Amino acid sequence: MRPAGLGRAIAMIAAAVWCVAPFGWQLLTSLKPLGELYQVPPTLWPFAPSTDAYTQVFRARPFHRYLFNSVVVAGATTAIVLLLGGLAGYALARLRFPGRRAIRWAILMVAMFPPIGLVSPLFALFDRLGLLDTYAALILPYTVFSLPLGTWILASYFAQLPREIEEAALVDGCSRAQALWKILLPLAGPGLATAGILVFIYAWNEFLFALAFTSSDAARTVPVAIALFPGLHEFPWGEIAAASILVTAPVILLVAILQRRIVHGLTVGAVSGS
Amino acid sequence: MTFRARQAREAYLGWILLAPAVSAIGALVIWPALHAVWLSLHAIWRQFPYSAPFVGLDNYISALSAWEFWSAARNTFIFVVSSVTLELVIGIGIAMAMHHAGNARWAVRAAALVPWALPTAVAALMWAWIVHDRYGILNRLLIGVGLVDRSVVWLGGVETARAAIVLADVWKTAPFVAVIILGGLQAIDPAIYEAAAIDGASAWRRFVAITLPSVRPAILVAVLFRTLDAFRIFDLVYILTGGGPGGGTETLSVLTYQTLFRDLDFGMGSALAVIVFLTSLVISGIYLRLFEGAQREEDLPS
Repeated sequence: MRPAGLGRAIAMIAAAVWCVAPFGWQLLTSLKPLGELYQVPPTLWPFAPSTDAYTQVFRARPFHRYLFNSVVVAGATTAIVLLLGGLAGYALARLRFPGRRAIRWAILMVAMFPPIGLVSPLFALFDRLGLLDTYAALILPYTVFSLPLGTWILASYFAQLPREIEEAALVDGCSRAQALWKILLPLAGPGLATAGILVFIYAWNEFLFALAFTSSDAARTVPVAIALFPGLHEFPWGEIAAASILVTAPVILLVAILQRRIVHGLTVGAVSGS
Repeated sequence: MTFRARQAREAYLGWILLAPAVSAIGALVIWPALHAVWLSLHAIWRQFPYSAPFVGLDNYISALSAWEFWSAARNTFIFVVSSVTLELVIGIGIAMAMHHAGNARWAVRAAALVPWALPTAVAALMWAWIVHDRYGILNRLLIGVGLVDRSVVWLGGVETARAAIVLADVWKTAPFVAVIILGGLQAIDPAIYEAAAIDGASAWRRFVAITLPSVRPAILVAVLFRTLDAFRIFDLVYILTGGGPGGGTETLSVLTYQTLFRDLDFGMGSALAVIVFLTSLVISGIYLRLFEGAQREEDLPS
């Protein structure tokens, strides 16, 4: 190994440890029994690992309900964004029409809009419509705030597909809409997967709207639920750690499998956005 | 079909396909944004929802003359500058590590995506436990290597609480910066490095003369996104410190949220929200100018 090689290996390991170690600590914390949790100084490895914290998460509060809410909200947001973003992305990538530039600007503005700016008017709106504390109060804002990213990623995929395929379909007598539905959509599979995973993670993790627009367990999602674990007199660190692992595990699994797509999607999203 | 007719049909189809996305944006972003301006010109309290007298710019005047606002503005500014700078430095480091990882690239990339994929709320509680004055691992480590001789009460003092927030934010978002910069690194032709190495350029010289200029557009993109994001920081501060101690870490988003939902003052809260989004607009305007400048300079097609 050249000396440069050793330096690189060290840099690589340092980068990986910096990124993973704090999360690893949370995993170890979640496996410690109560007595060990509050030991001074803290032990590194749990000497009597237990899963008490995990069972307690479900026993002390309706955690399964929060998980279900998160799945519904993130799933619905993803489906709607893929549909709206797919149609818009196709139009922006493939069709020439007046007003195209204005639409690009509008989408860019939305991407840069600070969510806190919309909390009070959306609260008033949802209050009037009776939507507070329902899934819709979360799905609606999540959809518009992740629409720019979804549209950009899908537009970049449509732009990559060779025009000839579509033209052949048009020559064969397909309408444009049929060509989009039957020919391009199946080919845009990787784009849909990339946009889908990024939108899902955004909706799964969002906190501000979920905090402002829910006030009971009816629609409360996991991030807000965990943030509200601490009661007046106690701070259940073990349960917080266990719940953190539970809510993050599926996301980390997805990330490990789809890392290539995610990296690609983030790059496309950022570069088209500017 | 004539060319003209085909063009008209294409425009028609374009607008039909865009209609759902455009109406969603209109109904849920543009209209509410205008409504926020309307709310900010009225005295509206959540307890008395049916009376909303018009008060003109009163809410703005009281917001801008309150010390809380300027303190929050200052805290936000300090946070944006320190965290974006650190994220950029560490992000470039992680990007270089990923770029040169060879066969192990997938492992470094997977590791780097862990902080990015975590909900910020979860990351905030995770760091709250790490920096816990009594049971936290950070104090234990610092005492172990002799940097401090007794436990630091991280969230008890303004300076250390700010440091804890920056640390958590840098950890969470440096990987995003790294991924964007990695895209720029991968576009560089390795032959340029070989030529420079043959000409006797040192590794540092190659980094400064080839790497940095080539990834400049990527760095600008990353800084734009991170600045806007850091400017609106909410979750991390709300959970980690609640804006304390003594308002020392309260940012503009947290102040706005507290005005709306703790003080129940919707008029004032909306005025603060409008100030935040106008400032955001100015920040993006400045960066977009910078971009156009950079692109013209390098003659890149947009």
